[in-house]
Amino acid sequence: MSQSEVTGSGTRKRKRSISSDLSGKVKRESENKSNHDILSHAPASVKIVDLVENRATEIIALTNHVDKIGGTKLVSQRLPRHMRRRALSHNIQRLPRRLREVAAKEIERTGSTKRPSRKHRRRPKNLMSEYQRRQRRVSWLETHIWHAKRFHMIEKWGYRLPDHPNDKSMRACHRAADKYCLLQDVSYEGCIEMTGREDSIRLCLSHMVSDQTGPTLLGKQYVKGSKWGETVMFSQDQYPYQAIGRVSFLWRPPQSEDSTDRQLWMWSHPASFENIWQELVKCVTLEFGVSPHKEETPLQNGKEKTDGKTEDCSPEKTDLRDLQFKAGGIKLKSLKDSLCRFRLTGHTSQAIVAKVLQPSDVSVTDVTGSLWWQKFYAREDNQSSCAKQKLVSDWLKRCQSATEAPPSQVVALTVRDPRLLLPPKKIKVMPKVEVEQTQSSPTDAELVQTSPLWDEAVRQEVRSSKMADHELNKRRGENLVPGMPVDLGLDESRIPVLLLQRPGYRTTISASRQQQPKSVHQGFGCGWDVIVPQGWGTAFHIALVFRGARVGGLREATAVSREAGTLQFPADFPDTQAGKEYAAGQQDQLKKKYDRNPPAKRPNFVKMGVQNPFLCPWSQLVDEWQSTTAPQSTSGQIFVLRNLRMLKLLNEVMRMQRKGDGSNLSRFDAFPGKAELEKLVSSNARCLIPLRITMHGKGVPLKFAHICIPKSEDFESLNKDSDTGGPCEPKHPDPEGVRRRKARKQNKKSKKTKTIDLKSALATPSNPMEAALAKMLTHGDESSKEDNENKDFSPEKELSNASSSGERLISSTKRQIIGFVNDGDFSLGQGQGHGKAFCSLPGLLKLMSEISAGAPCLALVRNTTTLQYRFVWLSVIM
Amino acid sequence: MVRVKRRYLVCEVIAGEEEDTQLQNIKELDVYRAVSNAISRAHGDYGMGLLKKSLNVKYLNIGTGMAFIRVRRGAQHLLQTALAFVKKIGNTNVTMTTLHVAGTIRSCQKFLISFHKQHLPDFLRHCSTPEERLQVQRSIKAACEKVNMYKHHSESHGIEEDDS
Repeated sequence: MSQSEVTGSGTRKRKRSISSDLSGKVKRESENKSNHDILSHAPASVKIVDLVENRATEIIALTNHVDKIGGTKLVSQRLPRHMRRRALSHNIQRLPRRLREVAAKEIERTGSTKRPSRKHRRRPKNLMSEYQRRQRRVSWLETHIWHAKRFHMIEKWGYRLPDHPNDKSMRACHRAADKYCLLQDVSYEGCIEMTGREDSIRLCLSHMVSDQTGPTLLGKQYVKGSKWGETVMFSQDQYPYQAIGRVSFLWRPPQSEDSTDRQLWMWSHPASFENIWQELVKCVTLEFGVSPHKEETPLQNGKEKTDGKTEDCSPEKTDLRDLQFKAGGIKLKSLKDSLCRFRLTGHTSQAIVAKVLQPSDVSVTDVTGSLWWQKFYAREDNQSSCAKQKLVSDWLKRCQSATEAPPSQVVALTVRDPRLLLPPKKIKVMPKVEVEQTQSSPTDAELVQTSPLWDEAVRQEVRSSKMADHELNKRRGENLVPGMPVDLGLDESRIPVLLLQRPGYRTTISASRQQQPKSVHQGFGCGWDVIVPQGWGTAFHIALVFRGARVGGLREATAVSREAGTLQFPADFPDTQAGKEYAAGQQDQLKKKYDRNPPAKRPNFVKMGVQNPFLCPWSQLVDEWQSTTAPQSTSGQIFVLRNLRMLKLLNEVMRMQRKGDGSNLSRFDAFPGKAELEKLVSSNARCLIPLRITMHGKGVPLKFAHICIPKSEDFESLNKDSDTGGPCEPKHPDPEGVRRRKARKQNKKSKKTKTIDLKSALATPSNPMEAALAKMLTHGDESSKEDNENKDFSPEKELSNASSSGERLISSTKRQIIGFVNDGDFSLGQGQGHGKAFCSLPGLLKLMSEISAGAPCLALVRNTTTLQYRFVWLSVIM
Repeated sequence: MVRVKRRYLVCEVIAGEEEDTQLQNIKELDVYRAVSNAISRAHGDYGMGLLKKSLNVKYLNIGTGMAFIRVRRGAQHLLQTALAFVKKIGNTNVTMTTLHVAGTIRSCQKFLISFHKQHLPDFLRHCSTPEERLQVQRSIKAACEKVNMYKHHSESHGIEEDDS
């Protein structure tokens, strides 16, 4: 109640009898005061309005209180016992009429929380709507349900992806990738279609790729369309800086000799998809001078609409599936999620692919047919391909292993419905052992026909004409003899697929291998990528699984790439945006996990001398190494060296052998191409070199481990005893540790005294309970404050202190740090620890100049949780 | 289970005349101390022994000077007589009177509502200026709307409370 209103009105009254009149009681005057002047002792004034307002407020407050009968209880609980009915929570009619209104409101407020029965939930319609709801936030792969039943699923890059299988399977998956077949659904990789004249496409793309990284997507062997390839894309004209991501690409074979209109597909990892798209748009705009914002309108495809996937997407978030852009005769189109891609790794993948992909009969007898394949293959230029199909599939069946096919070969096929060919039980397909080398392998021209898959109309029709599973099963049921193959005739779908051969691990240098331990064997990681149209993913996936392919998730993919020693996007691309985001996410996760443990149950990284236990500080490393060579530090971006010639040069230094030469020349000095190498350093001081590391003896390199330059005495001890474990780093002082321990002790003590205080406070009889309680509360506050103070001694703070204290990173340990391990583990293939690492170029050359030419090319690696250094072999990843 | 039976006294705390009719800075605890002192003075250890355990001030409104004091049943007369000897609460000169004796806090509240309701219209007679009158009318109206609601509820619900 506002008092100010009242006082403003000037209603002071001099009426001493008011209060006694009002409340029926006597306001007695104090008897001991003088009787003469009663009025002098009377209250100076009474504010009537105040009096009334106080009372009114009290009435309202009390009424509110009195109204709440039964406190927070429900109406049904407030009823007296004799009026309660068993079913009144279901049937409101059981309540007395005067309470129904209140009860109805109550029911409305709580809502029905009961979960519908499983039977209800599993009805197809309800199940589908539930799936739609769950796909609103993240997209699903077509094989999601299959995976979700068998895999740990994680959310990444806007998808819900299988991470690793629920069964114990690391070794089994390695074996599958090595000898049998490991299958991974990589449909999350988004495809970008580029159509236009060849020269204009070349013009646009030349801004984003560089010849120095090896053959790019403008290379001659690729443009024909018989091979597919991989290349790293950079921001417009920024090479070697600002890499965006890796794309795998495929040109559509030219329809006729003289036609110049070409079509190009580029698959990109979802982490870099958007950036690549934007950069492509930028390049096209630059070449043809069109404002990008006018034409870049997300066009809704009819196909997408029927899919229902795009309905719930918020308008401000552009859907990457609908992107389209058109300028100067070049058309860009996002084919994200409209092609499924399966990656089969291992030698048996050849046999499995041959078994699953049976060529369909596409010989056209009725030229007027309306089916897509009748129309397509009725065309003259496509008629010959019918006959070729048989030839190609025979060849596929004859091959023993995927390595027998020409490397990076593309094969186009139109195949039968894989659901009709399913074996009754899961089988394991093995390659045939019989050897008949009489027939020659087909030529390029036979293998590479134009696939109908390139045509969007065909893709849509293939998708819409797919026979539903239940219909297929009905047809099966109509069979007189159960289990016999069903012949659908013209009703059977013909599915165009593309097969991309992956050559796997290949080494070009074999002469100088004696020095190094047994490395990855030839052909590891070979296999096929199968591309099928949208809607057919699950059918093909299950068909592949039924032929004995073992399915892996992201963890397995990482393991395979580590085993094969290839770089994986985005983890091994530290100079890309996606790679940085990946590293930051990883750091967050590891830090949280570290913080969950008490100090005694986690390593003290300060004592280990590890400044960044959850992150590889690339730019700091590069900065510091650059400042050692050139005092005038020019800060800038870091980049990973991808220049193939330079990498080869570096590899030669590492592999150079000079036995019997007793000179004390170092590797670097003895290298014939020293001058060129020096030039390289001066121009590329800010680069990182990707390295494959293999342990010399014991030990496993793990993530974030340091790679250091050995001292000469380390080599001496190694020469004396080749099994030596390696040197040790002395324990680093932890100045904060003493303070932390003291604080902890004090905390313990103060806790004890606190309890005593509390007891004494409660024991004093004069103190009522509330005072004691108040005391307790204040104590609680104090203790929580103290706790907070103690928490400030957490190691992260110290770590950050240590790193910010100006101590140089590369010389923070006894042996100079030249790089970090990005990914490492025990290799099941080699039987020892191995991994991938990045080193600073000046650092690496310093290592080379300290190793004598006759000595093996070894460095030291030290994990973040140990003081022990181990020797490792280094080789360059190209 | 038989619950502990108690009596609640609805008391009015009236400030001494020279105190400007305001009971500022008085807490429940102050009232409790004053009352327990008065009991020990009036009834000695016997009275304290009977009342000490159950004595409590459950409610105090400084604005209206209303308080609920709890004692065990059967000993409420000791408290009532002792209340007459309360002269001072904290540093304020006061007198205390009993308005009502009830069995539950809820019925105390009900009593207080009807008590105020009964006496509020009397204030209108003592208003001197029309603005004042308007103000008083308005607040009475606001309060009585609530009262009516209460009446309506209590009559229509007719739910018996557990402890009455």
